Amino acid sequence: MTAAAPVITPERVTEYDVDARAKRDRPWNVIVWNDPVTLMSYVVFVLRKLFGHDEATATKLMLRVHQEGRAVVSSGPREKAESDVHRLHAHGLQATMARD
Amino acid sequence: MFRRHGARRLPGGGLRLVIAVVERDALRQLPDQLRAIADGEAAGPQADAHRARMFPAASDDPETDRTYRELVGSSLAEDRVDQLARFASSLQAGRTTAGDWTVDLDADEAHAWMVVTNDARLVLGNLVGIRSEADWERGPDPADHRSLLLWWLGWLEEQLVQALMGGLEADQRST
Repeated sequence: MTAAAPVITPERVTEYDVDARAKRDRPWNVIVWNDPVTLMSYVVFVLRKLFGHDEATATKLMLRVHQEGRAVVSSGPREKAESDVHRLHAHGLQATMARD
Repeated sequence: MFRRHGARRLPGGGLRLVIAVVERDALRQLPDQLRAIADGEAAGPQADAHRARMFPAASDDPETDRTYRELVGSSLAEDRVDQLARFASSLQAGRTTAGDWTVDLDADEAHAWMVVTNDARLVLGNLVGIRSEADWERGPDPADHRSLLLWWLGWLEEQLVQALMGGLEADQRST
């Protein structure tokens, strides 16, 4: 091993990416989409079963899906959104996740 | 349709279902057909369209969808195959009297029936061409057994949902 000339490395410039951080911290929304085949009562049942809503709350959400074509049914960290989408898919509902 | 037909809740989360024997017999075609879609055995564009209904994308963003599919793996398809097996075995149970078939389903079987009925309706909706809510207004086509089955399964699923909804209310009251 020979003594080498000191290597001068340029200091790594870390850019503090405010936008990326803000994006990362935004919650994920879980969206249920309207579907012409799925029964309205079934959507109410699944929302009550999975999220513990009372009948009025679940019906309101279902009607939003029906009338507006979609509704956000839960919101939170990515892992929770993935788990909620998985549970909705296991019940045959058309569900997606997207960052707020 | 006789009024005695339908589902009612049993203690413990199960339900009692009464349908005509001929209706029970019509359900026997479902497990094999849906299993072939769920486990990927059925090939071709139509089977792919059915699978897209049963296992929809988790996101418009391909990267998010890919990560999700890696995470859940084959669990959704395996779960469907389990529900179909439970459904198929309960079709062998029950008793027949005067053209009616009566079966008592436990909570797991009742859940399987609901999931299978819902999937069958998604697939039949594809086949019959239900693309908007207005398509229901034309009513079932008596010459098309798939159409008749789709409409009848709507009645059956409503029966199952209402019976199980009663169970949810009982659970929520007791907690």
